[in-house]
Amino acid sequence: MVILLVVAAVTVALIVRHRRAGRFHQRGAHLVLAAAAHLFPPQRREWAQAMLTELDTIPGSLARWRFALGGAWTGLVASGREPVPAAGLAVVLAVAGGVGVLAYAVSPVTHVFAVALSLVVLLAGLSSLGRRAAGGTGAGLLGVTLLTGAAACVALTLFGVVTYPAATAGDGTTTVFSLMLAAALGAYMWVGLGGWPAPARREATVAVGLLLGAGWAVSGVVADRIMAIGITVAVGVAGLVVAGTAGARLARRGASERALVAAGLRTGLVAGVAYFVAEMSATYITASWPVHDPAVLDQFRSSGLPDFASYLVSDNLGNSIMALVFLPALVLGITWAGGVLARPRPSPGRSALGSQSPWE
Amino acid sequence: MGRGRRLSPQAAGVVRMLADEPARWRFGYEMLRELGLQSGSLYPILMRLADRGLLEARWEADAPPGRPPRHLYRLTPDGLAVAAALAGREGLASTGGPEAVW
Repeated sequence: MVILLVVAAVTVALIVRHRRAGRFHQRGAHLVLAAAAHLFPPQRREWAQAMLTELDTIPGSLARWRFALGGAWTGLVASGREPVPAAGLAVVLAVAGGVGVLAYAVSPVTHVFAVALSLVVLLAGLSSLGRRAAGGTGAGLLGVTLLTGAAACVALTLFGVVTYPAATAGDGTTTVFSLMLAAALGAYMWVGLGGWPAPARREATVAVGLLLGAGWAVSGVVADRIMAIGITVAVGVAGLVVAGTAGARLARRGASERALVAAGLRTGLVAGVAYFVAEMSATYITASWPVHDPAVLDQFRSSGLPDFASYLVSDNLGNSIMALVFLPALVLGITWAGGVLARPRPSPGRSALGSQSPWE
Repeated sequence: MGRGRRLSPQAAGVVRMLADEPARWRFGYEMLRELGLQSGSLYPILMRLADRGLLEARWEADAPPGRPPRHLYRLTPDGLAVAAALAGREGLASTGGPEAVW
């Protein structure tokens, strides 16, 4: 139901935007490059703007997309970064290797996760070194929150694997979720290390994100235990209203579409880690509590797992990993939709597409 | 300034192309088409050349109405000197070395 709500809201927003912009078919590549412009270090912003204005002159959809994707590559990897300092490289290699070794030492079953986690820590660290060598700055409170949250996610996962070994049976599904978790955490660490710079002015993204993520997780756990699905629905809808309202407020204060996307994504990322930490913490606390919901008991019996606690941990860990990917998209979509629907119509003769700087 | 490190073959190609008409300002997409490069290759090269003082960039001063100004590029005097040095090295290479000239 939540997914349908998100799809409906985003679709309505896109239709409204299409009617206003009149050039929707050209927006795709421009949106990709505009988003990628945020990947450029601050001293390269003029080059990002240069690529955006050049993109608008390129004829043909395929040529535009190739140009835009090249711009994304430039921002992510190759925006003229200075050489990485050797000492910093040594630190990154040591941390990446240490994280993998620690994960494997705690539980040899998680070897896929350990290797994947090492790789993503290495990539995030190298990218951060390159940005700092070129004069980039960190992500402030957002960075601390995401990095702490990522570390907590790893710790909670390993705790579950060690304490409830039956929950992660080592089959193909576990491998897929291991890779998904490592990739998601890598993305969170990349943002946390300054891949997405902190906003120029104070923004409540961290506070709102924590509230949304933890609220959704705790309400779900409580609702499961007392068989009151209405609590989950009510809290879920309330959270979406908060996100949409935040987007509308930003739009009325003159925030650009890019600022809306950035704010929605930051909030969603914080909500993702908050959900994971709250959900798994609550799961471990309540794993031995008695269960009365017959539907849940039926699901446990059909799972083939030896005990209910292992089933609960396995199920909730999978949901939490999905939430790391799903929640940022959900919050981003609702925040953006709220902003687009609340934005005043552009005056006649002025293109709503434009080539505004991504940082206006 | 900026002549120390050897240019990559792609960067050398950019420099040679710009040196063909040194006074003319070029657009990025025009350079992409002429060189057959992707934007993910060309723009990092342009950034590094600018960092090394071999390339100058400016915004278009007389953009047509309805379109924002585009970024334009051409070589600096240092860049032209590098282009000349590249041409000289290629000349030596094609003739087999300085001894072969005499």
